[in-house]
Amino acid sequence: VTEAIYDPARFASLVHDVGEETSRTALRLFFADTEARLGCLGHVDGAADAKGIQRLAHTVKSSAATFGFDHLSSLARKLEHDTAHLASSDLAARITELRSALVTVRTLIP
Amino acid sequence: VAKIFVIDDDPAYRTLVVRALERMSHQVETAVGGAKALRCLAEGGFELIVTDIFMPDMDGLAFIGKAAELTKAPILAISGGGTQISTDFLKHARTLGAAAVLHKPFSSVELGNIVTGLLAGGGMAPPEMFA
Repeated sequence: VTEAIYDPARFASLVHDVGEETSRTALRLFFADTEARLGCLGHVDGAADAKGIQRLAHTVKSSAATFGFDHLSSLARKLEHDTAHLASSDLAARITELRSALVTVRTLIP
Repeated sequence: VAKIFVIDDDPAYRTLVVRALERMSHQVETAVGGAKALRCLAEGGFELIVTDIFMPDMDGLAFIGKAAELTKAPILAISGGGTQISTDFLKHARTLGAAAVLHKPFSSVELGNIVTGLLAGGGMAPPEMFA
């Protein structure tokens, strides 16, 4: 891991910009939406799921960075870039890694 | 105060963009996908369109092209970048009618500056607004 798991200054900046209530609402939506999308992927089936995986990774990449979850954003960016070239087993491993990173950041903002 | 239409299927980003615009005293309406957005656009009245280029139901560039036919309001395309973005995207978006592109993640200050500039211009922004 070369990037920080969480940059608290990013969330603080968000709170400054749009207020704490909106920031926390957006954060809850981010977790709910990402978990739902990950849940929809279920068992990865190679090319059949590639488009959905790439789309998920694209969305997570931007949103995670907004909240300061730099490692999660980085994993998503790499997954988006690599999806078309990965075998099913590798895709499944990357998604597991993404799920794990999401679980990690869930507890970082009290 | 302007009537602004925000289209983004990402609920977190949509929430943040809407709140940032409301804090600028703008009136904001939203849509999740391009098909519904086009139906709303047809009813008119928006002074600015802010749209993500990835939509669950249609190609973002196609949406920009159709939206530009339905409204004279400037279109701000929001892009997350990445492999799905063609290197020609900016050129295509401009050709199809987008006045500016803002890359995620962005601050509310960046959003506010571009929105204010587009509203002041009342139409197509100058080329230098393309990031």
